[in-house]
Amino acid sequence: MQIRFTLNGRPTSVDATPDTPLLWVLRDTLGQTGTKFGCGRALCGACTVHVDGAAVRACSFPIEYAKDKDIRTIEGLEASATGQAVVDAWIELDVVQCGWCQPGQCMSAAALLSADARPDDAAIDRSMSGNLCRCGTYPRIRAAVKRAAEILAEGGGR
Amino acid sequence: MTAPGLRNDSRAPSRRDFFRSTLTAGGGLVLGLSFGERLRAAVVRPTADPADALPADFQPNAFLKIGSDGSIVVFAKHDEMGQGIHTGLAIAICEELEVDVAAVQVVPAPADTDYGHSAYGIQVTGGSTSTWSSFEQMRRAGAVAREMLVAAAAARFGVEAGECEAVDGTVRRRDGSGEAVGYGDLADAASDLTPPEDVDLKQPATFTRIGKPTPRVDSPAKVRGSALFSMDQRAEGMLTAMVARSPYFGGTLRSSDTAAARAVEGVVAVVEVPSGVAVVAHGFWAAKKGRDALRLQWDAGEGRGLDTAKLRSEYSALAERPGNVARDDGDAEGVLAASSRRHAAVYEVPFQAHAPMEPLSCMVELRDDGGVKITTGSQMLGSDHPKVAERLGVDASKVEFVNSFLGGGFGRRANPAADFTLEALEVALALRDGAGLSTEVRSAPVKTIWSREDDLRGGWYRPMFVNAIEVALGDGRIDAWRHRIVGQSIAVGTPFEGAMVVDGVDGTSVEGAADMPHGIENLRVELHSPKLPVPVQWWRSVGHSNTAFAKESMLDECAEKLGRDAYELRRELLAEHPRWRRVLDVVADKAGWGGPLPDGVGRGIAVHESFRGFAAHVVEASIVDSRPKVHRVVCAIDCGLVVNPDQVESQMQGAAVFALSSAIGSGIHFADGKVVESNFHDFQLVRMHESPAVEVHIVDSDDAMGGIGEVGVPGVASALCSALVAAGGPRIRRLPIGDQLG
Ligand code: FES
Ligand code: FES
Repeated sequence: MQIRFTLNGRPTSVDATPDTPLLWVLRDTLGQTGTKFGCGRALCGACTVHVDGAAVRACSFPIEYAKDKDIRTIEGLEASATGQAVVDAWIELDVVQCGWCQPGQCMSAAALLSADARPDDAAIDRSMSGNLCRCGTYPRIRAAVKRAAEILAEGGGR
Repeated sequence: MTAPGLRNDSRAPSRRDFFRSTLTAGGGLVLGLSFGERLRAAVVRPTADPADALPADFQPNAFLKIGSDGSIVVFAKHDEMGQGIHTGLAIAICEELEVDVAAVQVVPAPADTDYGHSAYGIQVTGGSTSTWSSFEQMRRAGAVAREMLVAAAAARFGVEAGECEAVDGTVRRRDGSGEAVGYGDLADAASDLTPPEDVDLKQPATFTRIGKPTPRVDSPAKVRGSALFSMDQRAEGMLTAMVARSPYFGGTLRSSDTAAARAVEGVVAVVEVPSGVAVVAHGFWAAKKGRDALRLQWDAGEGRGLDTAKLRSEYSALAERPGNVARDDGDAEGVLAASSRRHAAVYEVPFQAHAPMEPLSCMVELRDDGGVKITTGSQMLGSDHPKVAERLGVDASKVEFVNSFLGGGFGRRANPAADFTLEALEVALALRDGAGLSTEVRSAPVKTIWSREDDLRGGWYRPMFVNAIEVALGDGRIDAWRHRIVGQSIAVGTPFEGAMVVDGVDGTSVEGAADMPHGIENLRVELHSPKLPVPVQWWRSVGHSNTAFAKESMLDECAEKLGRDAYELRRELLAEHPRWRRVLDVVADKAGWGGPLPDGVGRGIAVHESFRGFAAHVVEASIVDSRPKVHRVVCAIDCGLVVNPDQVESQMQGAAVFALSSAIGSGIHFADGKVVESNFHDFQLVRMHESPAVEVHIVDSDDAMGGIGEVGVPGVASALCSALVAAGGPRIRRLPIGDQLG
């Protein structure tokens, strides 16, 4: 089945069986491997992308639902000021260890900051608890979300 | 094989064994580097290569290449799995080479004996050894290059080498003339020189990079999603394979019905391999659907009836009997028998899966010459490489390995049986020999991908352990201590058995217990190593992950029984051990040990040495809705000279969270012969809302360099359990805590 959507601002069309998760269309069909696989069951957040601005687990999102949607992945995150601020904060604070979970963390963080420009700890807990990090970078993730908020408040995000 | 991208360097160093390491720790084979001879042999140069007319790159050794274009590439002998070692190795090289870390590119080294571990011999990353074992070697690698560049510049300036100095990627004259030349412009001339017999390393007081917080070299690519991990690797025409493995360890396939799997759109082949049945398809989703459609019957074999409750009682019964003796000071049995003040407790930990965030994968491209290219994420190319060559019956030179970033390792990717590598190879071989398949399919690159379920149920766990400790208490002190450990050996049956098992005792089963330095006069440590079909291996902090929990919990119980403060008792017992005591004092001070806490919050303390590092923890926790709530973790770490303090902090933070996961919610259990857990809903890791603040205090230390990656794990579980006691909860002696507070 042919499915059209917008991927990181570009009109995109793929031929896929309708139940194929968006994650595997991105990784296998389109070769966009920034979106990661960690559990396949919406339990870890490694595959987080934005669908019409909302954080979605791509491993559990059948491609048929992507029809006509605006999809953004880590490869296109820096196109927005919020995304840019998140990436900058993540690099500035050297959040990553192994790094496998981090694109998903950044996507969740950007979705949070789009909805709440000054998230407190409780808001960070709520929005980020769906993203596992086996390396245990949570203390730095928390700090980086706050740093990204600061960058945005300073008019940053380049 | 030589470093990737190496071109036109037949003028490699003539002096062999230049970097013969002086590090002999760990009893491993000491491997000198003799890259000169082999580099020459490996570089194949067509006689009329027009590239010969171009200036040569400068590759003074296997770790470094300076291009005539000024680019600097570091070949990392240790695998980057999050611990920041690519950055650490680069810092050591750059310090001596006099260039900024940000100016170099770090790439994973290929499989080659040049990259053998300085203490273990084979190419491997593990045991929290990378920094201390490679530190001097990397500095020498940088210093040799620096000296040769300086010599090349001096010749160009027509002055003595002593009149030149290396600064920031250039060599300049010391005469104040400002005359300077960049490394890239010197590469060709330097490549003609013979490396110096010996080089002076910089004095630590003059370090400008070592010891300073340095940004990770891999951060930007990892954040942006462009870093290539094993699973991200692709090749033209690549197929994806998923293997259905026996749900029982030691089980065998009885019958299979593959018709429905073959009918799934996108599936191109179903082949049998030694570990099960592989479904090969265009992409993951088709492979998974195909695998789900397999109808397989298994004979349980040895794994039949495997059951955690049963194992617990069998292990506990074993723990009542004497085992192989790992340490025997004084007369523990006699003192225990005569004592009227004994205390005994049993501490248990389950099997643990490493659960690296990136599930395993391995891509195989068979070559017409009988060789192969393998692209994966491995911690132990030094073992994988010969194993693959052996399986194919070809010389190792026909086996090319490309390593990637590792999406977590924690020991899983250093598999003594090369399980995920050899399995992928078997899939490719079965595909090549598959009857009725098209040439295209039979020659396609194929990548195996493991699901999370495969990962958690795939074995190679940290063994389950039962510890029985009995003590005899005296007047304010511990008179005798007997610790019996029951758990599988991770060494028996591996190539490492000879080195690791002595007199029936696997050192990794008793580490952290048999070497406890607490000055207890009558101390006996015994080991039972039962055999099970469950494959086991090292898991971040190995034996210490069990023994520290048991030892430190019992010390806290002794303190309670003796009416002593847990910190003061440890101070006294460790009076002769300044490095233990220093981190203990620092953590107590920074955490405000003994100070007031909110109602319902308790503190626990632990101190432990592992992998040449010394770590102390204070955990503050309470019980909320019958679950542990961790408010704060404070740790102090002494790992000797620090290369990158920011990454020491990061490793200690991560280790604390990792250890909390296994203390609170994760574990592998068996029922009916099968693994109970399957994914992150029942293998529960700490999440953001459960993650405490983690404060890290690095102790200034001139002592020997030690490890970091694993050192932060062992002490956390007991400190948490003792904090819960202080918070009014029961003493938890079995991990994970799970619902035991309810
Ligand atoms: S892979 Fe999608 S949530 Fe884990
Ligand atoms: S950085 Fe490794 S899983 Fe998060």
